Amino acid sequence: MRILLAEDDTFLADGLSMVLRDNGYAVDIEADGANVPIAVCTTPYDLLVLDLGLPNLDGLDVLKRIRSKGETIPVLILTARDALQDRVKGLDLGANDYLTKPFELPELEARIRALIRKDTWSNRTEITVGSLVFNTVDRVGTINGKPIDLTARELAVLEILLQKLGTSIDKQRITSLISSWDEEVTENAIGIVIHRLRKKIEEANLTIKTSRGLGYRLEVCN
Amino acid sequence: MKSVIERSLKSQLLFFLLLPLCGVWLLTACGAYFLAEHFANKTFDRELLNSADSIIARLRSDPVKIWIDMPPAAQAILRHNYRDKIYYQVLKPDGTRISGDAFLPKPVRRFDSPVPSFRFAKLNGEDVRIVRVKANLGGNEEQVVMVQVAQTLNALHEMFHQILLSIVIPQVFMIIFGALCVSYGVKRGLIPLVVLERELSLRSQHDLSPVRSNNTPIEIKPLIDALNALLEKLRQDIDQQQRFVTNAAHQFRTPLAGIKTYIYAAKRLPADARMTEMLAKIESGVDRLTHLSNKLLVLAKAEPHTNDISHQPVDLNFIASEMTADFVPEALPRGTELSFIGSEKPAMVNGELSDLAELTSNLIENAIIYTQEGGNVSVRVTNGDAVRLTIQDNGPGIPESEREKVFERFYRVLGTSAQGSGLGLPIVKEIALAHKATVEISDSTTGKGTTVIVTFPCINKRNAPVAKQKG
Repeated sequence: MRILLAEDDTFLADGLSMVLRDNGYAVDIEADGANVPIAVCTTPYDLLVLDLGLPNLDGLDVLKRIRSKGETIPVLILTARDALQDRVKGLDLGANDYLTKPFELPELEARIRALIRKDTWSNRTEITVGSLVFNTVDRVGTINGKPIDLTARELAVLEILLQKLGTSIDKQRITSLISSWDEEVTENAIGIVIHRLRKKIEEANLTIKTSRGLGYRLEVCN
Repeated sequence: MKSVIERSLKSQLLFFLLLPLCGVWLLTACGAYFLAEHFANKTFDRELLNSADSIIARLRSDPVKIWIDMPPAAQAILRHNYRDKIYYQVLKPDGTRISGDAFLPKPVRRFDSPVPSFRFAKLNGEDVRIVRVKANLGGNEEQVVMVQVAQTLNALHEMFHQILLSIVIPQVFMIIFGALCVSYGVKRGLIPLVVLERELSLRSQHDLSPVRSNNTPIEIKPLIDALNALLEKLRQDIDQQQRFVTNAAHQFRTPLAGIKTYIYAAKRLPADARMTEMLAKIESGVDRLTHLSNKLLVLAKAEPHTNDISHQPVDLNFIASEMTADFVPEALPRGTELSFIGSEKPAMVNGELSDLAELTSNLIENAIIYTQEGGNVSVRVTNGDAVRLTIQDNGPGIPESEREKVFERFYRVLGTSAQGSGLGLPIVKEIALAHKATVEISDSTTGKGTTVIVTFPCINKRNAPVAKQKG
C-alpha cells in the first residue's frame, strides 16, 4: 500500500510518515501543493492524505484538479480548520474523509484502513483463499487459525496479490506499489520477497505462479 | 457653582440670558423710579394748585378788609379727601393770617414771587407738600394776599408706587417667562440627546452597529458621526483580535498534531516504566494544550459583535439530554452520578444549536471536573415562566466572593486542583449573552456544591421563524 502524504509541515509530516511506515505502508511526502496532482497521476497511490494549507496550490484546489483529471484515489483531508462549511466544502469537492488537527493517531490509522479497505477490498474485512484467511482490518493473514509471520514487505506483496486475485500483476507494477521515493525496491528484491512468501503460504495450499511477460498470480494448488 | 454652570447647557443658557436681562431690568427700574417720582409730583402739584385756586376764588374784598366766603359745606368739600389731610392759610403780605389753619409753616423766602412755589415741609410730625400762591384781589397793594395749601403725601406716595409697579412688575413677569421659555426650549432641544442616551444604554456590548442618525439635529450629528466612527474602529479592532486568536489557535494545531504523532510513535518503542510514565505526562500536557486551543477558538467564535446570528427555535431538552449522554463516559470512571431531568413541555429557545450545545457541555464538564469522585451532577431543564437550564453538583462550591470572577478568562478559583482551561465559564457567558440569556451561580439547594442557572428569554411563538430542518 502506498500513501502520498501532502503536508508542508516537516515536523508533522516526518512523524506521520514514521508511524505509517511502521504500519507497513510505503509513504511519500510532498510539501508543495502544485506537485501533488502530478504525483498522484504518475504514481499508483492507494491513498492521498491531504493537508489543506499547502503552499503554491491550496489543498482544495489540489483536490479539484485531481478529481477533474478523473483520478479516483481515496483522499483523506487533514486540516486545522474545523468550521462546518470547511468540512462540507472539502467533502463536496471529492474528499472521502476529513480529520481535524490535532487528531488521535489510532483514529487516523483506523480511517486510513477504512478508506483503503473500501477502495481496495470493497469493504470486505476478510478475504479467504484456500485455507488462508486475510483480515483486512488488522492486516493479518492466518492459516488454519495460526497467524503467518510476515515482514512488512511480504505483507505488502501479499496484499497486492490478494487484490489482483485471479489476474496477473507484473514485477514492475509491484515495485512501484511498494516503493517510496526514499526507498526504491529493486525488481530483484521483489523476486526474493515472492520466494519467501511462497514458502510461508505453502501450508495454505496456495502458490504464486510466475508467467513470463505477465508477472505473478496467486492461485490455489490443485 | 461655576462648574455646575459649565457642565449644564441649560444652566449656561439661563445664566447668559438671565444675567443681562436682570441688569437691564435694574436699569429700567431705576429709570422708572425717577419717572414715577416726576409724574406723581407733577400730578399732585396740579391738584394742590387747584385747591389753592378754589380758595382764592372764595376770597372777597373791599377797600378795608379781606375775608373768605367759605360756608362749612364748601370747607368740607375742600378738606374732603380719603387719605390725606388738607390745610390752608390765607395771609396778608406782612404775615398776618386772614383765614385758615394757624399752624402752617410760614413761607420763608421770595414771599412776593408771582409764580406759585411748591415745597416739602413737616407739619405736626407729618410730611406735607405746600403750595404758595400770590393773589391780587383788587388792583392795589392792600389787596394782595398769600394763599398756602398743604396736603399730606399719602396720595402722592400711592400714585408714585402705582406708576413704579406698573412698569416694574410686567418686566419681572417677562424675565420669568423668558427663563421658562429657555428652560423648556433647552429641554426640548436636548430630547435627541436623551433618546441617544437611552439607545446607547440599552445596547448590548456586542452590538457595534452604527447609531442611527436620522432625525437628529445638525448640532448633534457630528457627535453621532464621531461615535459611529469610533464604533467602527472598535469593531475592526475586535475583528482583528478575533482573527488573531483564531489564527493563533489554528497555528497551534499542526505542531500539536506533530507532537501527538511522535508520542504515539514513541509509545510503540520498547521502553521502561519511567519512560512510559513520562510519555503519559507529555501526552496529558499536549491534550490540555489541545483542549485550550479548542476553547480559545470556541470563545473567539462565541464573541458576536453584531446581531446577525441566525437564531432558530430549538428544544433545550434535546440539547441538554444529548450533552448529558456525551459526558457519561467521563462521569463513569469517577463514580459521578450524572442525571438529566427534562421538562414535560418542550423548552423552546431561540438560538444556535452548536453554541447552545457548547454552553451546556461546558457547564456539565465543569460540574464533573470540580466535583469530587463519587459526587452527583444533575442537569435539569424547566419550562415555567421562563426556560431554565440548571446544572447542580454537590462539589466544593464556589465562594460567593469568587462568583463574579469565575467568568473572567483564565481565572481559576484558589485551591482547585482540577485541570480546567480557565475558559469554560467565559465561553458560557459569551454564548449566554449572544442569546440574551442570564447566567447565575448560587449555592446548591442541598447545601453543599454549586448550582448554575441559565435563564433564557421567553420565545415569542407568533414571531418565531419556522424551524428549518438541518441535515
